[in-house]
Order: sequence, then structure tokens, then C-alpha cells
Amino acid sequence: MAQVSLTGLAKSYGPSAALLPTDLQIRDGEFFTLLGPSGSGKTTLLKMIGGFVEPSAGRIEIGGRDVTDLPAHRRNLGVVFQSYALFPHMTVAGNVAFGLKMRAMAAAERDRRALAALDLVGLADFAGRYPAQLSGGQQQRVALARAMVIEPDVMLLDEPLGALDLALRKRMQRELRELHRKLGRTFIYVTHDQDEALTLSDRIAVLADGMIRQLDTPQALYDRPSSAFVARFLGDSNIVTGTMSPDGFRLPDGTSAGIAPAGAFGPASLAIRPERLRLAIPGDPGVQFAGTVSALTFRGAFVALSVRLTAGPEVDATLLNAPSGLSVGDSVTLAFDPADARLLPADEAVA
Amino acid sequence: MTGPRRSTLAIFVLAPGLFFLAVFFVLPVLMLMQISTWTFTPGALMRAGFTLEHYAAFLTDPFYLGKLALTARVALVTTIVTLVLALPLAYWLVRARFAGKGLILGLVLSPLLTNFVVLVFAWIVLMGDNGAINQLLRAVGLPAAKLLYSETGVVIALVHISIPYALIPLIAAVSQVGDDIEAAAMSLGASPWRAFFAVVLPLCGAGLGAAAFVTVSIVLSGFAFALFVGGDSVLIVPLLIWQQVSKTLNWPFAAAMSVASLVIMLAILALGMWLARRLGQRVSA
Repeated sequence: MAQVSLTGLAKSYGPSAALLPTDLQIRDGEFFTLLGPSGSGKTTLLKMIGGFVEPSAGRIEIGGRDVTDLPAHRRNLGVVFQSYALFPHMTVAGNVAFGLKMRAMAAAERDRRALAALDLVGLADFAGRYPAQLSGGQQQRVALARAMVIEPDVMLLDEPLGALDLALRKRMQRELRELHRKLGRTFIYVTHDQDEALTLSDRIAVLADGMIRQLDTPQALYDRPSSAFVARFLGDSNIVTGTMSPDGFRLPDGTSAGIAPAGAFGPASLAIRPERLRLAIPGDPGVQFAGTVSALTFRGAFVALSVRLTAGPEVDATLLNAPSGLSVGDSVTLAFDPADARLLPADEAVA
Repeated sequence: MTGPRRSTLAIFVLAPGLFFLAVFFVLPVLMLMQISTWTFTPGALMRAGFTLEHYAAFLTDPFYLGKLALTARVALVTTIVTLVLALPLAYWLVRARFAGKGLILGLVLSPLLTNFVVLVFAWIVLMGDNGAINQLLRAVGLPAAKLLYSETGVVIALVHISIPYALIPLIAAVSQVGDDIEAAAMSLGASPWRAFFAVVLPLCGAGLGAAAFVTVSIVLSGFAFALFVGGDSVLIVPLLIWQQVSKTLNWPFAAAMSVASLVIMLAILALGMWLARRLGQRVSA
């Protein structure tokens, strides 16, 4: 049980930086997620905490103890890998007891604890099997039991559900959440799946190009992304580029969007979630854009609409109550509440 | 494709290989077994008949028993030294990340591509009484060692020849053990050494078995290496067989020694596999 504190932590391989100097405080007992596309530095960060990659600079403290120069086997961390990394020549019980054996625990106590840990993940009946005889989901549960039985200060999970199919992934997400609640330990979780991050985390750090772009709770990240990258990476978002002028935000063709001036004048972007757009009703108080329906897909619970705005850009809207007669080519007016839109600095070069 | 048609196709594909094996391996071994029971009359080469006297001579005569023991010792020491040298090398070649790794791998495997005569010449230059190794020993004030025409020299030559052959299955074996597995062992509290012995080594069991088998085969078949480096002073069984075939012309006795060696080698192989399995079980227990 411990908080994790990173100070100026960085890693570079020759001239290329995998992680730029990063400061990060992860709270005790928190479910903390490092979210980002591949190459964002999230796995490098996790491996440095785990002691598998040597930092180029900076300090790592776990529970107030400086572990920067401590080898992996003396950090007391539970690590779960995407590949499960079970020992194929040992039984399930042997795998789970391995860490206790390394701690020179007596055999009887070792077996008792291993079995208790297996029980916690619902695999007590599989103790005598070999990993190859288990399904992917069962193997990952064994890996979880093996990591937590040593009572680690922190659990590190590197895309643990990445190799599972969607249905199983959803179920394992729930189990992980439950496990975190039961154990009350600090979890540091790496994923590129924004849906998983939103579902599981207390807080999320969004990484790209070797740096943390934004760090907040899932709700805050979703509602108040600080950059076009975060807005697009977490859920769908319409990013309309334009300019901020003294009288407010203007679309590329000069149309005023009716958003009050904010931030620096010059190039700027407006981010708005598809589900925050609606078809304007007569006397609608919201900001309004006129356009033509360019695509329309019935998706059961909702209708996904693409609208080519008269001002130029195309936006997506998710409508829960679309009029039945609506079809491609129709002229529509979309509306949204200014509070639902986010003004962002001009789009950076991040994909 | 249906089952029967597939098996017909399989027969067609496998036939040439099976035919080759039958004609050039199974048949000679059967003939060898037959000849080993024929009688030998000096001057008449051999005569059809049935006798086990050649086996009896080989397996009871103190001279031959001594040579058998010498052969077993050379094979054992060569195999152990080869594995002890080749496994860390294989591990390093798989795990390490540096430029020029391919060059080092090429150098290590170069004996495979080197002409036998060149190898023998290299050994003589290195291990002769005034060879490079002895010059080095003298330079640092150590007594010279008798290497050429000695058991040590033969083992060194056999290890040299065996390492590239042993390295190939070992590199494959180490590659199969993922980085994550070792990292997992370390995260659970195993020091790098302990992780190697508890996880990497047992998982390389099959590769070690294959490497040991290849090494023993090289010792038992490579009479030429022993001939040139050991001369008449290190008479391992392959050399004795060669002498019986080309000098004494006692082919039935040579055949009996060959068959006996083959059986002994298969027994060693079985023992090795059993030990490798035991090792795997013990670590996992």
C-alpha cells in the first residue's frame, strides 16, 4: 500500500526520447491509468516503475522509499503482463506460490496463501493444472493471483486484457474493478483502450509523444479536454478549426459561431461531442449551424448523422430522437449549448 | 480435401525421403548388425555365420573396456563443457541488444563453414608444444601443457567443433523463453541468477537435450578430429573402429563395436532426456 511519486523521470534511447522528463503523483489506493497510443511512452513509464527499464534521469519513490536504483526483484511490486508470462513448466499453484517461495516462506503457509489467492480469482479448482490447459481469461486470472499473493505495495498492469476478446474483456474489467476495491492497493494500469480507461480508472494520465498531455478524472477528461488530441482520443469529438477574433470564435468562412472571445486571438479549435449536438427547434437558445445531411446511419438506439456545414467543415451528431423522414441531402440546423463546447488552442501536430 | 486423399498425398510426398532413409540408413544398419555376427578369419576378411564373440571381446577385454570408459569420459566432458559454454553464449546472443551481434554470431558459427583441413591446421598451430597456447602460458610464467596428442587437446577440439552445432538448438530454446517470463520472475522477487536457474534453464530443457545429443553424436562419429589431434594416444572407440576397418581389416569386429556404440549412445540419450524431465519437475515442485 503506497503512493508512487515520480520526479523528472525520463528515458531516451540514443537521440530519441521515449519519455520526456515527467513528474507524477499517484495516490495510495488509487486506480491510476496511463492511456495513450503506441509509442506514447506509457509502457516505458510502467517498466521504469517496475525496474525493468533503467531511467535516463529522474527519481522514483514508492511509499516514500527511493527505489530508483533498486533492482526489480527488491521493489515488491505485483506485475501483470499482456502475455500473462506464466511459467509453463509449473502448475497453476506453483506459479502463484513462486513469489512466496522467493520470500522463503514455509511450504504449508505458501500453499495456503496461494490457494486463497486462487480462490479470490475463482480458480481454486485449477491449482493442479498447467497454464497451457487454461483459457486466456483463466491464465490472466492466474497471473493476477500470482502478482497479488506477494502483497505488493503497488500493482502494475501492462495491457492485461489486450489479448482477450471483447466479451471477456468487459467481464474482466468488472472483475479488476472489484479486485481493486477488495485489495485496496494502488493499481497502475497501462492501456491504449480509452473505453477501458474510462470504465476502470479513478484518474487517467493521457500520454502522447513521450509526455503527459492531461491528467484528470475520467469525467473531467471527457467533459473538459485541454487539447484536440485528448478530445479525439477519449471518445468521439468534432474538432472545428477557425479563428478567435475580438468579437468571438469564427468559422473558416468568417461566420461567427456565437461563442464569446476567450484565450489568445488567432487560430483556435472548437471541440464538441456528437451527443451534445441536436437538431435546432424553433426559438432554440443554443448556438446554431446550418448545413446539409451528408450521411445518416440508423444504429438502433440512436441515429448517427454527418452534416456538411454551410461554413465548410463536416460534423458528426448522435441523435436519440431523429425525425423519421430525415434523409441524406436534407437541409438541417444543428444546435448546441455553448457550455458543452470546448475552445482549444490551435490543433497540434498529434494525430 | 477428404481424409483418404490427404493420406495418399502424404505418402507421395514422404516416399522419396522414406526411400532414401531406408536405402542409406536402415539397410546399412541392418547389414552392420548382420556382419557383426559373422566370423573373422585373417586373410579371408569375413565369412557368413553366427557368433557373438566380437561383442564378447569388445565388452569383456580390459583393453577395450578401458577405451570404452575413455570414450564415455571424453563424450561426457565434451558435452558438459560445450553446454556450459554454449548456453550463456546463446542467452547473450538472444538477449543482448548491440550493433555487430550478427558479426559475432557469424564468427561463432564459422567452424560450420570451415574446411576440416583448415580446422585441423588451426588446432595444431594453437595446441602444439610450441603452439600459440603454450607460448602464452610460458609468457606468463606457467608451465607448458601437453595439448596435442592428449585427451585435453581432443576435448578442446571436440568442444570447438561442437559449440556451433549446440548453439543452434540453444538459441532457438532461449528465444522461446519470452522476456516477460524472466521479468515476471524478477518482479516476484527472484534475483536475475535465480530467475535464470528457476525459469530460463528448465524451459531450455529440450534445447539442452538436443544440444547434448548433437555433441555426443559428434564425439562418437567424428573419429577424424580425434585422429589428427589425439593421434594414437587418445584411442576413443570411433578411432578403434576405423583402425579395424582400414588396417586390421576385421570388419565383423568393427561392426560389433559400431552396433555396441550405437546402443550405448541411445541409452545415454534416453538417460539425458529422463534427467532433463526430472530437472523440469524438480524446479516446478
